[in-house]
Amino acid sequence: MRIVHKLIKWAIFSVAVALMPLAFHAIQLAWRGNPFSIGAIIGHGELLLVSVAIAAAAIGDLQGNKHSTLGTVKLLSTGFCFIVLLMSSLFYADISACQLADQVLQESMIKNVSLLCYAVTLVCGGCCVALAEVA
Amino acid sequence: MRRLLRCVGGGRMISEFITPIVITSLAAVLGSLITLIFTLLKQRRRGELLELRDETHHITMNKDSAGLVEAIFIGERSMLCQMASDLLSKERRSVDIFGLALGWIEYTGLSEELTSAAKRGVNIRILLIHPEFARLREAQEAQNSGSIGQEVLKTLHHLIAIRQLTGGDIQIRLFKGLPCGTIVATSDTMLFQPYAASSLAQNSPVMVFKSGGELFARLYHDMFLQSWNYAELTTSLSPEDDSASAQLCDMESKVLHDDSRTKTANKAMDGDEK
Repeated sequence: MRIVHKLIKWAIFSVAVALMPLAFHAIQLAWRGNPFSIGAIIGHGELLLVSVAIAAAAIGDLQGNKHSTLGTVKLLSTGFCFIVLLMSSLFYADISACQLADQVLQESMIKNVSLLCYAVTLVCGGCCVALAEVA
Repeated sequence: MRRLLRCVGGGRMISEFITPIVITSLAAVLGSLITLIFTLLKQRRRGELLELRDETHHITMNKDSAGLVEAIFIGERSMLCQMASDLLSKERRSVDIFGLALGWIEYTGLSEELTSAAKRGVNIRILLIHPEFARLREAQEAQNSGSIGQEVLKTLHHLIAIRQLTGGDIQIRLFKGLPCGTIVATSDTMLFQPYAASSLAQNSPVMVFKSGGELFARLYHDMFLQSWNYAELTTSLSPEDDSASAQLCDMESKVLHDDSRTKTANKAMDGDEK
C-alpha cells in the first residue's frame, strides 16, 4: 500500500506536472487554430528533457534513502535509470545541435524516439521510486 | 565510441543507432522490472516489516529477522517455569538467568533441571537482586517488608547447595539495583518477562525470542550482559563454597539488622501518628 501511495504521488507531482508545459503548448496550438499533432508538440525533443528530469529525480529519490539495505538492487536500478538519462541527454544534444545548424530533421523519428525514451524513463523511474519505498 | 561522438551534433545519432537504442531501452526496462519484482518477492517471503524506533536511529527489522517468536500473557509463575524447564532440559551449552529473588527455582521442578544441566557441563550464570536492594520491589510484588530479601538468601543457599552437589560451573552475582525483568536465556532461546512499574511481575507478558534474530541479540546484550558485566552494580558470590557461605552469613546479618531497624522505625512512626 505504501508503495502504491508513493507511486501515485510520484505520478501526479513529478510526471504529470513535468508534462504541463507540453499540455499548455498543445492547448495554445489548438486555440490558435494551428495544426495539432503529437509531432508538432514533441517534434523538437521536448519530451527528452522531461525524461531527463524524471529520471534524475527518481535516481535522487532512491539514492537519497539512507536506510536502504538493498545495496546491489539499488545499484542496478540506479544504473538502468542512469543509462536512460544519458541516452535522453545525448539525443536532445544531437537534436539541438542540428536545429542550431539549420539542418532538416525527421520529425517522425524524433517523435518516436522521444516517446520510446519517455516510456522507458517512466518504467525505470517508477521502479526506482518503488524501490526507494521498499528499502 | 568515436562514431557515436561524431554523430552527436550531426543529426545522425538517432538514425544510425536506432537498433542499439531500442535494445538498450528494452534492456533497461526489463532490468528495472526484474529488479523490482525480485525485491518485492524477497520482502514478501520474509514477511511484514517490523518498525522499531530507538532513541538513536530508526531501525527497521523484518519480522523474521527480528526473532520474536511469540508474546504470551501469563498470570502464574508456573507457566514461565514450565517453559524455562523445557529450555533447560534441551540445553547443552549455556544458561543465563536474571531476576528478583528467583525463589521459583527452588519450589518448582526447575531446580532439578538446573542440577541436571550443571552435571552435563552447561555453563550457568545467575544474576539476582542483592538482598539489601530487595525492598525496591516489595510494594509492587505485594510482599511484606524484608520478605524478598529473605527469599534471595534462601535462593542463594539453594544454588550453593546445587553447586556443591554437582561441582558444576555455576556463577552467581548479585545486582545492586532493580532488575528490568525476568530473563531465562539459553544458547538459542530467550524468555523475557519485563517488570511493570505498579503490578505483579507475573502479570507481565513473557516474550520468547529466538537466537539469530536481531531482537534476541539486542535485548540479551542490553538487558542481561550489560547488567552482568556492570562492575559497580554487581557483587560476585565467591566460586569457593566456603567463602560463598561466609558472604551469605554476612549478608544475612545485614539484612536482619536492616529489618529490625525498619520495624523499629515503623513502630515509632505508628506511635507518633497515634
